[in-house]
Amino acid sequence: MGKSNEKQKGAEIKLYKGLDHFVSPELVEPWAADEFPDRESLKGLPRRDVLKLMGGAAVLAGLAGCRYQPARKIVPFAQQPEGAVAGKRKHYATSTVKDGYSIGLLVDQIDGRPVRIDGNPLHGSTLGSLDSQTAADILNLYDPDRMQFPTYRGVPATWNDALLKLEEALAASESGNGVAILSESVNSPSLARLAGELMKAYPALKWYQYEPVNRDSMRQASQMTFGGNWLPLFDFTKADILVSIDSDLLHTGPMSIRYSRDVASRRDPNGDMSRIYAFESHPTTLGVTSDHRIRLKPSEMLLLVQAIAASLGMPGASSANLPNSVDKKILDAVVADLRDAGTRGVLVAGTHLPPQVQAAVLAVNEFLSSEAVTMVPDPQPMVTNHSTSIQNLVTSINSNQVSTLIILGGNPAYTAPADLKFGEMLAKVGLKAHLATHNNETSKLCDYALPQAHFLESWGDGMAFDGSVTIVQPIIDPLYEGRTPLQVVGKFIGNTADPRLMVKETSELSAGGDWNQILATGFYRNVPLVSEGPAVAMPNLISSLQPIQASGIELLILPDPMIGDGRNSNNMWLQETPKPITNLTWDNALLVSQKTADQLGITAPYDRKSIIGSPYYGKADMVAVTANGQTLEVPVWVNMGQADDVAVLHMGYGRTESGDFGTVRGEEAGGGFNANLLRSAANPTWTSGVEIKKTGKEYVLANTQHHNTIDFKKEDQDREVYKTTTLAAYRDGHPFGEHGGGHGSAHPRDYNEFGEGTDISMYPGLDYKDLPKDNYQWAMTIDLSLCKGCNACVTACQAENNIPTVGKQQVMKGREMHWIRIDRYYKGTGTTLDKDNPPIVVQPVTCMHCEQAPCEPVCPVAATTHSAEGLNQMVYNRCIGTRYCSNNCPYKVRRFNFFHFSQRADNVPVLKMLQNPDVTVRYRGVMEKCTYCVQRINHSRIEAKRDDRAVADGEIKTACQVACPSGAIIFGDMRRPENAVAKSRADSRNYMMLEELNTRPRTSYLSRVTNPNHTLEEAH
Amino acid sequence: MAHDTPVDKELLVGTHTNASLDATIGDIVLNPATHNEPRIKTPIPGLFSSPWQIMFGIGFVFLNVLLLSITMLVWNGIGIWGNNQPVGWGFDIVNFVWWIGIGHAGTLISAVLLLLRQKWRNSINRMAEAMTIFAVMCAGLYPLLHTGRPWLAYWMFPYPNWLAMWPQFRSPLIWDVFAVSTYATVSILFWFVGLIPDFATLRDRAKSRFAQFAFGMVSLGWRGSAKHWYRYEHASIILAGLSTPLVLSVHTVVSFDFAMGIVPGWNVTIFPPYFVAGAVFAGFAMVLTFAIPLRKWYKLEGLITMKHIDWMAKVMLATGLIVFYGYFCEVFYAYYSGVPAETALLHNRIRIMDAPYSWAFWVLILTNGLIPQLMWVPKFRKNLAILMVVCTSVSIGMWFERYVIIPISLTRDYVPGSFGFYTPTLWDFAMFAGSIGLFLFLMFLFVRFMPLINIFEMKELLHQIEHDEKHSHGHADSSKPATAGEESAQ
Repeated sequence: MGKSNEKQKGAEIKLYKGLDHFVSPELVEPWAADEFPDRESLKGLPRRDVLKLMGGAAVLAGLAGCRYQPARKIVPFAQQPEGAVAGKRKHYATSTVKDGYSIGLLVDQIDGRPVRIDGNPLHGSTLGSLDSQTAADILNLYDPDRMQFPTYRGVPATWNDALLKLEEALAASESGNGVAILSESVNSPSLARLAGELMKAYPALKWYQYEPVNRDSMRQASQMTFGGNWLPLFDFTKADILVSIDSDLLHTGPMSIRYSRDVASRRDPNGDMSRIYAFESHPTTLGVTSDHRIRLKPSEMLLLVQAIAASLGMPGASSANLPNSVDKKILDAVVADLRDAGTRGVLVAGTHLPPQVQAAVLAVNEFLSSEAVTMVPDPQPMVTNHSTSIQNLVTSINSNQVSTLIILGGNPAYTAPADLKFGEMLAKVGLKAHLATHNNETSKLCDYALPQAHFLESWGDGMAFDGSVTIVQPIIDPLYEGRTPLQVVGKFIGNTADPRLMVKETSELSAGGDWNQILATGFYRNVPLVSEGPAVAMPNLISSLQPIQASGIELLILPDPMIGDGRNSNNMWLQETPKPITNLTWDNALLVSQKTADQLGITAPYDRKSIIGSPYYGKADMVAVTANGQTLEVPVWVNMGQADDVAVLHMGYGRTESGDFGTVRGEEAGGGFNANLLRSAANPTWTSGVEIKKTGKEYVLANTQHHNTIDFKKEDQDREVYKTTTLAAYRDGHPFGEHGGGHGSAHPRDYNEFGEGTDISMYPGLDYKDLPKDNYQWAMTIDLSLCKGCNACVTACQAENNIPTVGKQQVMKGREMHWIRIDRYYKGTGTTLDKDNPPIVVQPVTCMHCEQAPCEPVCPVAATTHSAEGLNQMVYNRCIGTRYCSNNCPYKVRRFNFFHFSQRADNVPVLKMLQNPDVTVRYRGVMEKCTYCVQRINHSRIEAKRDDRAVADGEIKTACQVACPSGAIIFGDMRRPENAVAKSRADSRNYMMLEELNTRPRTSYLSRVTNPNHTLEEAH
Repeated sequence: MAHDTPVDKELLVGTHTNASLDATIGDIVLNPATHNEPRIKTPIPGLFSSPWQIMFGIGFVFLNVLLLSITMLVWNGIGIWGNNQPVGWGFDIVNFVWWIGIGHAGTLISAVLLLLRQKWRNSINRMAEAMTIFAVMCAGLYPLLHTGRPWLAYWMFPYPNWLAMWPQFRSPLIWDVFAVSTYATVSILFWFVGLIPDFATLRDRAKSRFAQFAFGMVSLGWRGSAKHWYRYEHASIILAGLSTPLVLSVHTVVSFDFAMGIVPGWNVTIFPPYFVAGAVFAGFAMVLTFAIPLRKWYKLEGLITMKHIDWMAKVMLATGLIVFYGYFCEVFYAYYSGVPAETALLHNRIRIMDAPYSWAFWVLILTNGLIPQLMWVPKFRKNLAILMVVCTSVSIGMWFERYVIIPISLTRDYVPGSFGFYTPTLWDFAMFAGSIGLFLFLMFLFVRFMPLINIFEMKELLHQIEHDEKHSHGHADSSKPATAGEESAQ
């Protein structure tokens, strides 16, 4: 061994590369000299072959480059999370903020991504229901236009940079002098705790709060009445008489969802039905629900309340002048009803009204010692007056007292009243950072734009209006680099703990109880409800209130019913969900009454007449509105039922910096007009003496219901698609009104006896009706007494069923895709229509799932068929798109993909995560329609089958049913008489729309019952 | 064939022989000069000096418009049209029904009039049949392209497939598929069979080798033997027998698309006869619209005489009156039924002040109901200018009839909440103009390459007239025409 390695004297030293080198050097030598010795052999190749090879290689290389194949990794769980089943939904309790206070939610998560938001059935704010805005918030999470990473003056930056810079500024300041924080309403106890610590560490630091939709005037009213910060918490189940003083109770405010349920619970004509008087400046969903709707200007509301108080005999209330627009008879009726109701009558004031009105209402309620209202301490941890707060901030900026401004959320440059010139003021601040969901008007003006996490990505907590503390728990890791205000503020005080721990600590500090239990239920009760309310500070308050001075036209600037103060402007679902009552989409418009429009020389778009006098849907006239010294040009929508000389303009539109859908894109694509330009710090919501001038310009408004009347023409009245009666008539056995009665009462039928009616059919014994009755038979009823037209069902359906949005142009062509729609009608007498104050009724319409569906026999390819369970099914992949089914549908509930409307969901990766995996995404050229949420039916049927049981009543809830805050929709198996839907179908109020066509719909309606005061003629 | 009734001599004006007939008709095909250097020139010098070139040129341009709009449609989707919710069918089906209707005169003339032994069909049947086929081709485009996914439109045919799916035979659209495809097949067969003897004539007269070869191929070895004629007569009677029910069935089935529907304004039981009458009405109007200029451009006044034109105008008047009666019935039903939706529909049509589309109904009444009444006046039936105006008016009116029935009924049906509007887009018009272009294009190709009047039937007519004349020497006034006062315009 060793010998061979020894150096042999005289021998040449030869280094071998390997054994083969030693054995046969002649083979290895060429390789040793040249790495590719064979290349010499290429010389032997014919030139043509070389060219062929080159050509082939080039072609193959080209082919390989033809299609970009994205790298996709499939990684199994290294450790399978406990209980995780692919494709199975999990539900997590969390919460979000609605108008300043938290509401409890339940979020569906599939394979790690949230796909659906529902209300938390355990939490008093929602009881499992939702409104449109919250249902659509899931789209905000997946909004591709969200701010994804921090930027410094438009250049990508890092969180570390930004926070370091801010911390340096903070440290450099003298105990926070010159540093200001501007947040939205601080509703989170954890954030308030951290803010307290921050301000302890930096005593000179100023914390401001501003939200355009706030409770300032309600709190002022509370101060005036009780000398403290108390808020009215209502229990409308105890309200026999409900008098609304311009309140949008059922649509805005943190408790609107719960209140809708409570109000609805008293609208059952078989029970103890309440009576609702709505004194309104503009029609609201409560006005739709009401028994008497009386138009009144906001400025006249105080006089009205004072008159009510005086008539009730309140001490100190002197008989005030009743506004002309209120008939004495109505006042008498209201007062008599309130007297009769005793402690079970209640008044509710709109939170947008001046504080005097709200104070007067609070005082009247105290006088009535109404059971329906409890004064509770304001649960918000850092209460402030938002109007004052933002003004103070602007003042300090103006006097150069602010060198560093940290804006946590919101969009003050857009939402602040125009006369504050907040955007311009920002230039005076040395260092400014903005935590925001989108790159918006404010963040464009700030040095640092920091991405804010969506609530579905965040840990947090919040105070609900009823005093409970809700938990915000993340359903998904942040998609981008978003952080919460809690994290940012925590960093400033050196608390870099997991925000989960901060929240947990807060709960422990307030003795919240078992943490896991809190997470499971989503909330804990922190503030015990006070049974002993505050005492009225001023007994003679009602007469000492300062009268409201008003002249000319009054302007109300209110949050948009769908996109709010603009925080949802980039949410295309909400942009396209028709606004209650007006049914406008994609734009806001100045709403005025018919009479005011006539005075201004304005014709409603739906009221246009061609040269030969025939009507058409035209453009809207534009006007220049001058209020608070500022002028804005807006289109006008004539909103029948609005008070005369009142104009309403909604906020949230006219965005200059938002995403693809929020930013103003002109008449073609919508985007509306910035109402904030008309607001002033002094009059942020209500202002009078407004000048409106027609400019002669026109603007097209997209409306989902071009035609506005029912019962206007005789032949329309006879259609009886909407049936109504009064409580008195109902109790007399007239479920469809004293006159007419309609088909239902003329031929009473047992609607549950499906298969009946063959005697009048030309085609007896068809299809599924011969199948054994051991199939489920699905049916739905919609109670028109309860529906208030809020459109929550529309958005919930859109979220559940992957329904695409189509844009303003397509809406104008009537191509919106919503599977459920709310038809709004103005009721007339048959020959006349009171255009000033017509009774407004609403009717949700969705696929009726007719037993004799006219759509089915006309499809040439059998793409729409009937299931054995009574569902009218749409087979998307069989559909060739002749649209014959839609033509033949008398209810016009089918929706056609005129273009590839789902393309965006196809193309934008993050939107793919939004799609409900249980529902097919439809391609262009295909018809679609309501399926009764067949995916939910199938899911429950499978579950039931596995457990060897029948699907229980109420086990399946359709998306619209879950969302409906009023509980107007009932769904289930109609075979069993004990089921809720069967009972509902057996109700004497039950009727089928267009019953005379013998389509035998599975969706039926319960006629609307109103409870008008018998002394008043005008009722609906 | 036996000729039991004498033929009206006015059906052939001027002096004709068999040879002169061959030359007059055959030369239009065989002699390019008839098109390139026409006797009647257009005011435009140069390339478009001949009417044929102008008309063919227009047809070609709009054919390209058609191709462009089809491309746009298939690429983008139905959304480029004005169709919407609630109006699922707009121009697409309006045009379909309009074109199908136009085809009907051809079948009526060639089949029904053959069975009824109406000799005046001889000079117009070829052209009318060609129009039938081209109109069916134009019509056929629409049901195919109106589908949301036209690449799957073949699913409407019953063909074996692994899904084991049949079409849905309850759907009137499927009935349409069968009706229209049968109609197209029989019409083409009938047309082609009738062309065989004439192709043989052209083969024999052709000078160029290519024409001889081409006409030789399509004349299928026709030698004019008695056996051939015997077979031919039988074939044409059988085909006429097959076609005759089609005259009634096709438009009946097309009307079922609506009559079987539930839409107010659609579910009218009078639709089948009223649609058929309307189709014949529209068809005759279109035949006249083409015959009047063609006979002038190609000096065919002696073959397509004022007598023909007069009689066609009379047929038009008669069918027009049936259609007008149909309108009356619709109004009456709506009024008499008392059904709210039907009454509302009536108001929606007639009440100018309340209904957005009432103007269309009144245009229809004017163009289809009132203007054709001019045809009562014999003078107007002989005035070619007035005839052209009336025929154009009828074509417009028949289009509006379908417009009023199809989209306008859909704008307001049952639930007022979903009442809507219908506004056609540029592409709707482009597709319509394009299909007219296709029709013109095919029609003038036909004029150029095929005998536009049936040569051998004209010879037969000539023979018959001569025969009648010889025969009448023995019988004093048997051939005295009742229309002696109505002299031809010649």
